[in-house]
Amino acid sequence: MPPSTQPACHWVRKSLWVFALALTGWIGASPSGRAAETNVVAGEYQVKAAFLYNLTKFAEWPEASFTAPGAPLIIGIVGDDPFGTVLDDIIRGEMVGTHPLLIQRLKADQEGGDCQLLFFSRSENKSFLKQLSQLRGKPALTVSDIDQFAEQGGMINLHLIGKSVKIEVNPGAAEKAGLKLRAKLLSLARKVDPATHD
Amino acid sequence: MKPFRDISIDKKLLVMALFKCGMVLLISITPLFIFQIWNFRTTFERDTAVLAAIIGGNSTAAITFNDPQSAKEVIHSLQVKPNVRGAYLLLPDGSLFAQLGDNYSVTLFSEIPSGANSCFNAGQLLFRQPINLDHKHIGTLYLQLDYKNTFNKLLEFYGLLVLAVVVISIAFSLFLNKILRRSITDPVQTLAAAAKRIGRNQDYSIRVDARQCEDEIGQLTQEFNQMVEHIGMQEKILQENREKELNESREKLSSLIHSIDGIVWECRPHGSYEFTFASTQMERILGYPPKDCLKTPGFWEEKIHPEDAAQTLQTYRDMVESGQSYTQEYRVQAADGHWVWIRESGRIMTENGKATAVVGIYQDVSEQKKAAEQVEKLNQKLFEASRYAGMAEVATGVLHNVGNVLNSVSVSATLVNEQMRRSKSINLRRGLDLLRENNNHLAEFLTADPKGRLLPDYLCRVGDELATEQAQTIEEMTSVGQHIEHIKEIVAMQQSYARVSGALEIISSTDLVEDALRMNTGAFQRHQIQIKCQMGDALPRVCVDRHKVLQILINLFRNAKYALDAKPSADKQLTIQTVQTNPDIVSIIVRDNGIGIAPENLIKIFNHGFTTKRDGHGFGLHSGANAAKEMGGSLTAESNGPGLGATFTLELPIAKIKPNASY
Repeated sequence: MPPSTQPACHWVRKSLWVFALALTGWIGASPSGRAAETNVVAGEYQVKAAFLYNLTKFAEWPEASFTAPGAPLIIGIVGDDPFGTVLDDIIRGEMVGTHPLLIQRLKADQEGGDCQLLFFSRSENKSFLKQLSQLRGKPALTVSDIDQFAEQGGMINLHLIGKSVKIEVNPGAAEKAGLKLRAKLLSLARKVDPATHD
Repeated sequence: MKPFRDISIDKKLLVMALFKCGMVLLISITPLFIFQIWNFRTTFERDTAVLAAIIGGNSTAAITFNDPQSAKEVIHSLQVKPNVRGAYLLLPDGSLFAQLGDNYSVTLFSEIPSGANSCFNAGQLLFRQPINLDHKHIGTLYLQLDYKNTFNKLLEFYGLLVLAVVVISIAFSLFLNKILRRSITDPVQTLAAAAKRIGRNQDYSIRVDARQCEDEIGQLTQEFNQMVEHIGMQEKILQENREKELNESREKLSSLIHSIDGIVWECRPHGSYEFTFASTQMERILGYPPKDCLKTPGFWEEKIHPEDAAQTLQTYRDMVESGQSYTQEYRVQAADGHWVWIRESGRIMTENGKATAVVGIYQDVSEQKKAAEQVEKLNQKLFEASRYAGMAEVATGVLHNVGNVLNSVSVSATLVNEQMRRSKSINLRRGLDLLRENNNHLAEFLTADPKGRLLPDYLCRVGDELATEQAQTIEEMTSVGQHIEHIKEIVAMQQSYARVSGALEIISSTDLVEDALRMNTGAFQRHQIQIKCQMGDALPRVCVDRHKVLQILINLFRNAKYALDAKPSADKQLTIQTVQTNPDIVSIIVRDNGIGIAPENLIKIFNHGFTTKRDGHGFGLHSGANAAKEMGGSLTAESNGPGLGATFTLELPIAKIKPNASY
């Protein structure tokens, strides 16, 4: 059954859940939150998982990056998976356009060329550059919460400022990869130009 | 204020133009205005929807990535719109994510109906914009916009606009009116003024300048000019015809007046009565030229005969005073000195009850006067002739009556004569002669002589005979005396009636019958005739010649008496009846039970000379029937036959008018 024809209550419940999660994460991350320390970490990745899912809606891939109109949009997680089942829960049954979402957890040396979105775990903070260079020319949105990820050639960096998750974007990298990022996303994000850091 | 139809065309046009303009504006502006209001609302709503959509769209990333700051920035961009009072971004759980203004309350926006996105409430527009991302509801944007101010401003703008349009339209109308006035009203007014002038002065030479334009007004003006010209010509012809007719009728009247056989005149009713008009007949009849008598005070007065003047002028003054028409006759002296009889007929002309003139005609009646005199003479002659005729008739009547009596006298005289002739007086003489002869020896003779001894007896017998004779003679002579007395009565009666003979009188029929009876009383008594009178009550009086009626009645009575002679004295009846037989007639019916009339004689008895009497001459009934006819009545006879009596009916006319004429 196509997702678009799913019952409305399912949609509502789902979205409410996503935003409640995001908000909980946000509140939990807020200084006034009464959540436990473990929850803060867990909350951070819950928020980041939601961000990851939401990013698929603010980016546009060239048609060629999909083998077929109904081909899945694959989110690849490189390195140790910090999300646990949270991300799976979020994307289950979700679609981006005509493409269902799919998570692929990659091994350290596994190439993520088939993925449309690649999240580099912090565990990859040593090797991500090499992987980035391998991906050059391929329409894959690269996201990470590794410090200075965007400045070093990544496209989107989810970093914590205080207790809230902020987005940094390297529009140049995305452009080179043939991806388009929505202006709405760009208006929220801090833009990074690697050239000014080299 | 004048009613619309009475105001000038100029003002009418202006009012109509303004009215038209106003109506057009009203008709065009009203729907436009309604449309504009509707349009304003929908546009306002749509703009708001667009705005909400933009803001909502721009807020998606901020909501998605939980960035209230960005959302606030997006919402605060609405500050540039002055009519935005508030904008509130709510998350699906109802918490406020970002806001502009601080009026948010759940109840405020609960005014928006559940099926709609917006509603107008208390001069403001409340708008709800759900924010979705990939079909997922991520939040709601509420907008609160001031609608009233904007609407009022719009109204103000439209009001000013309408005012401006109205002012411009009126100005334009006035301008157009001015132009119209030049091309329509002014020519019409010129026409009206010209028509007024023509109507007032009857001046058909007036023309209106028609060169100004070729439109209907121009045509009207040209037609008007032609019409005026036409009327002018007609008027001229009419005037000429009128004058001609007037002259003709004047001439006709004049010739008529002057040809009348009489002087037609007009004069002043007061003062010296001078003539103001006199027809030419004045000269023909009296020899005075009319122009001489006109304006000459006292002209006519001087010509009236001195004997007639006072009476004539008095009559004239009285008639002027009373205003009545009058006629009088008097003598006037003609120019050649002879006297002319004039009959003046006049009529007083009055104005407001005051005599202004006297008009009339003088007719020469001299010839008529002369003729009247001749007629008078002729009448006199006729009268005399008729008098003679009447006398003759009376004589006949009298002689007839007298003759009737004289028959008896004659019989008596014959009787006496015969008696005298056969008188015994001769025997007496013979006796007396014997006595004279024997005078000397009378005693001897009387005693001795045989003759003498018989003589005394003889004388005695003669004496007796003479006495008888004398008695008979006395008796006859008494009868003769009575007859002569009757003749005297007849003559006296005739003499008494002769005085009124020929005059009609209104008289009672009963009186006439009684008079006639009185004249015959003696005769009826002698013949032992019973008289029965049946007089009608309250009969109308008749208009007759008393003498003639009496004559007829006396004659009828005498005839009756004759007819009754054969009857025994106990059965001689004469009935006299008066009765009104129809509205115009009273009948006197004389009925006897005498010898009657044979049917063959009934039609002949009124013929002249017919009689059944031994000594009659057939005049009485004939003249009686004629006289009755002359008086308008009739005399008729009826009888059932010989021995059955006869009835004579004299019908006399009832008096209708007062008689004063003689015939």
